[in-house]
Amino acid sequence: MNNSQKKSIFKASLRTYNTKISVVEKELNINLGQKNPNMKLGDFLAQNGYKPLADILKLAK
Amino acid sequence: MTFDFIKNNILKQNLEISLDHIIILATIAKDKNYNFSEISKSSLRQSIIIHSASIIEGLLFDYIDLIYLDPEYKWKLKSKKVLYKISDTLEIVGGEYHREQIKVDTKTLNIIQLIQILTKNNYISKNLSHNLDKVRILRNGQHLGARDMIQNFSEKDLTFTIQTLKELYIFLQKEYSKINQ
Repeated sequence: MNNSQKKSIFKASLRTYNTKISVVEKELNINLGQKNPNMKLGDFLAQNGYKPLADILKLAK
Repeated sequence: MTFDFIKNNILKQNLEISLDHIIILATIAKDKNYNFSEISKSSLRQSIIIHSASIIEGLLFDYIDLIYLDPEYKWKLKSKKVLYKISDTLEIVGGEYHREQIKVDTKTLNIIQLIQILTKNNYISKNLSHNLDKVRILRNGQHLGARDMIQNFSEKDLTFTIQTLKELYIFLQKEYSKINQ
């Protein structure tokens, strides 16, 4: 496994249900338009049409 | 880790990478700094559907290796001897007819074969089987040459696909828990 693959797997573990969306925004350089930077990624996904995806992340907690 | 019940470490990491990519695509699709056209939105949904189907295939692949499958048989003609040649396309033959067990190499199975075998052996419900097959058909939209129209991947298609992935995930979490007891 090369460094790039290791980094990718490490990053994957950062994107969990409880990851703050402000962290995701910074990491992906995007603006999700949320006023609360502490909002959880899982809650954001659930409110934006990806509830089953949020549920999978919740089940894995 | 999301796929803790998978023992194969390489598969587990590949599943994590695909799920991670789905989350990236799902969040990028909501970026307020970029105004996605309807075609772009459809393509983003298609990418998520393809990666979801890829996860589904990986999960089924792992599951089928854990369970017992009823052996399958086929008849095979040996020592074939042509008795009468009727024409270039028809011969009457004799020989020995043997019933042989088919050795299934699970590593070579594709998603449709995985679904069919698990359904036939009653390991997954008819309903789950039906939903997995619908995801497979959506995933096949990636084959552009086979399309006879411009395919639009809707929010409904996307939600259905991720919902089916969730159904399979929950089902397998329970099944692996039973197997490992």
